[in-house]
Amino acid sequence: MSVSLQSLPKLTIGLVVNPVAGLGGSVGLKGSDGQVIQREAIARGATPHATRQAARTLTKLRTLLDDRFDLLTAPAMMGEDAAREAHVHAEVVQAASEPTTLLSSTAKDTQDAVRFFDALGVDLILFVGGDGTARDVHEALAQQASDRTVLGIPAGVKMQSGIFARSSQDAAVIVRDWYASSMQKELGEVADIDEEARRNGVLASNLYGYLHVPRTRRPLQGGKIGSATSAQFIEGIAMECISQIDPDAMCLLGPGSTVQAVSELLHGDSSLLGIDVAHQGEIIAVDLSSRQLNEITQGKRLQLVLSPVGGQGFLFGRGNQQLDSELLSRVEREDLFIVCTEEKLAQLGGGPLYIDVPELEMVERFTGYKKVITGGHQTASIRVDDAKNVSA
Amino acid sequence: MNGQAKEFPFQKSLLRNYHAPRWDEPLVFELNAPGHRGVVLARETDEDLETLSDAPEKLVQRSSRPNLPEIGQAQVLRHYLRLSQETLGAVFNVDIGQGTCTTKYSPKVNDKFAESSLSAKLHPLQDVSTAQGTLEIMHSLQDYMREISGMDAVSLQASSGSTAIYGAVKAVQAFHEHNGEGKERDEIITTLFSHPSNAATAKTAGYKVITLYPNENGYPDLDALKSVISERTAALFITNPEDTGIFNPDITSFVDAVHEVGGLCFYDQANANGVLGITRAREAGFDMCHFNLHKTFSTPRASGGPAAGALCVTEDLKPFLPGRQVVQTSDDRFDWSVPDETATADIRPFYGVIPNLVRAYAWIRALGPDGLRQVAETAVLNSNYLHAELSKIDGLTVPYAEGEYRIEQVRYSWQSLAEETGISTGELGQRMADYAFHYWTSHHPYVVPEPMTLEPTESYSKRELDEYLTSLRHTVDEVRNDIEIVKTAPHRSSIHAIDVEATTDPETWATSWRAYRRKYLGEVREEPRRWIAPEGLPMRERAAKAHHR
Repeated sequence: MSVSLQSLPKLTIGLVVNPVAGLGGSVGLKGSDGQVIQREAIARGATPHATRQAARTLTKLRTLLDDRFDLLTAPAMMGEDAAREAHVHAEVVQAASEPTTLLSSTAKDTQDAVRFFDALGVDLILFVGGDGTARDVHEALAQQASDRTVLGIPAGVKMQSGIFARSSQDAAVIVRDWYASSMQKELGEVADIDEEARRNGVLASNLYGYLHVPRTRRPLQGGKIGSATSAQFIEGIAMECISQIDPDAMCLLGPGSTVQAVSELLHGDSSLLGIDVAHQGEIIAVDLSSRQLNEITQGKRLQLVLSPVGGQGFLFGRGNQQLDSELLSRVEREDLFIVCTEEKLAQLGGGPLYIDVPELEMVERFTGYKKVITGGHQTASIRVDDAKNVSA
Repeated sequence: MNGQAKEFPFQKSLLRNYHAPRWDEPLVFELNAPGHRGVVLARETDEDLETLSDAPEKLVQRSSRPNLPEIGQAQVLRHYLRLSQETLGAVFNVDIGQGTCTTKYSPKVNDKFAESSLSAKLHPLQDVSTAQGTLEIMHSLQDYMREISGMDAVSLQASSGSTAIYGAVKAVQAFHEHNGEGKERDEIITTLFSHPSNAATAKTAGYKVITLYPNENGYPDLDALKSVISERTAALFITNPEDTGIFNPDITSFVDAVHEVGGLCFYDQANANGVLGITRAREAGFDMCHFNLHKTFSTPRASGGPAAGALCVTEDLKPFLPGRQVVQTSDDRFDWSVPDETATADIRPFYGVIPNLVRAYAWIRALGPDGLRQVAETAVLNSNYLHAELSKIDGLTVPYAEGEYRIEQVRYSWQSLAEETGISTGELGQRMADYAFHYWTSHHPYVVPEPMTLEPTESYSKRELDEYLTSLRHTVDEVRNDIEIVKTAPHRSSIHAIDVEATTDPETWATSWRAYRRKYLGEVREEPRRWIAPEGLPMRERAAKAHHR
């Protein structure tokens, strides 16, 4: 990193803080989504720490970047407070409504601020929160069809998404490294777990989409995809998977970019987040509900291609509800194909992967050691466990 | 004198004030000076031309001159001297930081034997009657390898460890083909922390590779193995202890399970430093094993040039070994064996890298059986010392089987330091270069986050181990007090930080002068002539050719 920062054009950063992020975690609520939970958390004595995390990042950024960045932020506890605490000059944008109390800040406020930063053309949006906040950021940018680069500063209870730095300080280092290199970006997953299920001791992740994150050598939490090394393997994974699929069967293609690579080798358009159906080398239907999936695949052998989602390696169950019990009962053990890059498997610590289905018979069918396709002529043997047995 | 070591006040610090030379040396092609010559030969006479007119060399003479730079002899010497000064100098340096690559000292006296005209100037086609001494050395080396591994037959043909492993894969293939199961048995099983050449050579030979991942103890469950073995299993290729330094205690059950389904078992002993003279592949039930002679038997690391590997097998696999072995004839002389019809094709031309085989022979002879065992014991002791001292550093953890010592190397993790400070293991390594040390992370993917793998072997003194530890502790202090100096390292090495992204992007590679001219000097490259398919012939679509070369 021998580039002189002084020679580079100044960086413009938009910062938005979700002040209630992480509120539930400190009092054992495993999440902070919804005002009922937030009130409960405060009643249990939770104190917000998102502003402190944001201030830490800003303090570090000031040391690393000196005056090489301009900061835009949302009013009061949505960013302004953090800037003040870190002694960083910030321009407060008035697009977001000013929350008067902690609980009056809403998802809409986060989204308004993000949309405003995007319209102003900032280089990077920093947001402080957890997976719920990540979903808000994703939704706001998706509405604008924007590929703005974002980076999450971890302050939430759950961080299944692959767009968070590993610590508030690390976020500043990532920004500096990214700024001093060529400011390239890559895709990171926006995933979230089903909080209700989690409070009942069940793990279930859902993939909501992808956001662009800074491409640096520094790892983010959870799965980053699209790095140069995994790109080489994804093609091999897709080819291997296609060679194992029975063309006469109805093949359900699950969500995510790795499965998407499989879809790209078939004819027809596919959906990134929905469940599509392939038959005879062609994608015949996209983004179907469980009823539609049952109808279209009636009487045919059923195969299923999935990739683990989120930081815990969740395969299916409550996360992708389109795969209902009726469908799953028609999928034989050897007809489930799991695709995953070695890099992501490593981030999952080499397993286990998880499923969550209510029927004991199905739990038995899909758990135990299972081959995961990791490249051309290449598989890994990974344990699949019942998500209900995970200690919450 | 009371027998106590005297402490000298002027003793140098354990932290080196190192600084590498930086020459900014041009590429040898850029030194091209038309008309300059290394050696000026006498002009040929008419008589010479007459003599040479029907010389066999005429037949292989190039039609055009090779495009090599024209440089004077002294300039060439200076060029390579400067390049050599810009390296950290493996073998002579303290190579503790080369974990899994296992670099140890190569005794200089052994070079004397290797350089002897009796081995260095041997021609592969000369009559065996004139090479009896060298053949006897090879015959003895085969015997020693048999004794050390417990196996029945040895091939010394491989010119590297990975070539030997490839030879093993080909022998597995030949074995199953001979039994009529060549097509059915198309899977080779390995583990994530095994030598990556196990998976790589298996794939090269056309096998499907199944990788077992470690459990919380750092090695795969027997159940993981049992879930993938079948009538399609050709072999298990496994390293033990693995790259983490953890020994799989269930290894005999692994071997038994694979044998039960008719598969073969190969023990990768590229690095046998932790078990030399203590355990043998044969007793663990393996059918084959190999040694990298440079990792265990002190021959120099070849770094792309010729190294040497020894492939050892049981009697059942002997007919499938690649290359020829040295055999003793009835009149107590030595000769090359005649390969069986079932033998695997040669894995390199002729008989092996003789100078390295001579060095390994000399090393074994000098140490004897007790000395070999002492090598392993010292290597383990050195590693345990580093392990114990490093465990005291806040920010470093030793994943898997916590609190237990490893065998001859350890894979550490800086994850907690990374979370605290934002430093990465790669950046720590670049700072260690400022203290004249190598530093190795791990193979990819990083299952152990922010990994560092250290392997001290038996070669280094306690002071050298302490120098390494001091530099590492000092670097960690710097991370906490002045992280910028670490993040912008190296400062005192011969080169600055390289752009790692670029090294993974083939478009930036220029592995030849021609590629460099095209990619970086804008020279337009003429497309080489290629075969064009006749019209109407159904052809698979091919990706555009990569121009790396």
